[in-house]
Amino acid sequence: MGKSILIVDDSTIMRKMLRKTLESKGHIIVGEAKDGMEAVALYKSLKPDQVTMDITMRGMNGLDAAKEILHHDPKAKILFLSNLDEEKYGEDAKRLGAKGYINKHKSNEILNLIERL
Amino acid sequence: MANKGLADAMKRNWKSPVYETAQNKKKRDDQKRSDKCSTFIPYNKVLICFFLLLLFSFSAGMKLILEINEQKQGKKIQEAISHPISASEMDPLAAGIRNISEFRPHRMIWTIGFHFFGILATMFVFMRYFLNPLKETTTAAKRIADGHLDETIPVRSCDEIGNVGQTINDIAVNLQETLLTVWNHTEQCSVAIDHIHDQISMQPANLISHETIKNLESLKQGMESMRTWVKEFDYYAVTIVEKKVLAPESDGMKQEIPYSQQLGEGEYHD
Repeated sequence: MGKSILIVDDSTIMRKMLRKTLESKGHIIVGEAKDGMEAVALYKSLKPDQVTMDITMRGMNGLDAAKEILHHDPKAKILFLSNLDEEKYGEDAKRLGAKGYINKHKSNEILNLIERL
Repeated sequence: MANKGLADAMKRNWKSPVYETAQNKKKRDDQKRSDKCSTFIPYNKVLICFFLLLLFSFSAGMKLILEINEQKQGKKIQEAISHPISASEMDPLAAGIRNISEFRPHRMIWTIGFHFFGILATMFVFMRYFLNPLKETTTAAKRIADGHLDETIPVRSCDEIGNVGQTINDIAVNLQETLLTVWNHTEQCSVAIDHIHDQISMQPANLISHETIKNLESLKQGMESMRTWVKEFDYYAVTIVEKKVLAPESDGMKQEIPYSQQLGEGEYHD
């Protein structure tokens, strides 16, 4: 059965692709945010099971948004999806308290991790 | 875990994903409007106001002309009765000028002033709310078209011009996303091609297919040319250094996280 997921990404095409990928496995996309501010506001109102978070976004970036969400709810399950180098930024994401860091184009790994969390 | 997620969803009284999504979308749209449309200017209303202003101005001018005409006719009749019309009075232009100057000249000045003010106000509004934002949008759009995807068009209003700027920004974001995805895929493909090439090279010389080696080299060249293409662009908050996609140091990366938040039970992929 599906999980409720909030997608945070500034790219419309990426949000569309993620929605398609996640919905194909029965997950429920409860909301989409295009920047950090919107993500924090939507997280507070929707309380999703998981959040897929982009890092580089115009306005508030994903790392700052994740910090804010974790400050509000330390048990939030945030999964970073980014095009940035995994080796370099995976550790930063871990320090922040995120549940994972996966390159955006690895859709199978994204699905597997969401299933496991 | 999955059942728990759905149970939580039901607890929060979600009627259906479709209903919820529509509701969320409305909420999001309202929030976006309040956040970013602090200087919302409904251009349609502005145009209606100016149309009404011009209508009022023209009607005032028309009334004045009719009034002058009426008085001019009355004066002509009066003059015809009292004494014969002189040669100069026969000239319609001279008569017209004299009539205008004789009958309520202050009204004419007010009308001209009113028109002048209307034109100036129209020009100001046009410059302030149409031309300047359009110029700004065009300049930024040209830079984006030249491959500077780090350029962002400032969206200061939620009108048609603001929407154009926002749409161009979205196009730039999508292009950046696509190019970086191409970069990551080509990197993955290049590694795989090198691996296959090495495996083939290790085989005995009589088993090596030169056709396969040639095809692999051609593929590798194709990947390299795509990567060169991707590197030609400037990206928003991202730089490509050697083979890595990096972000400039941000506060989010530097700041220490309290131990309570360092859950560390997630999974990280190499």
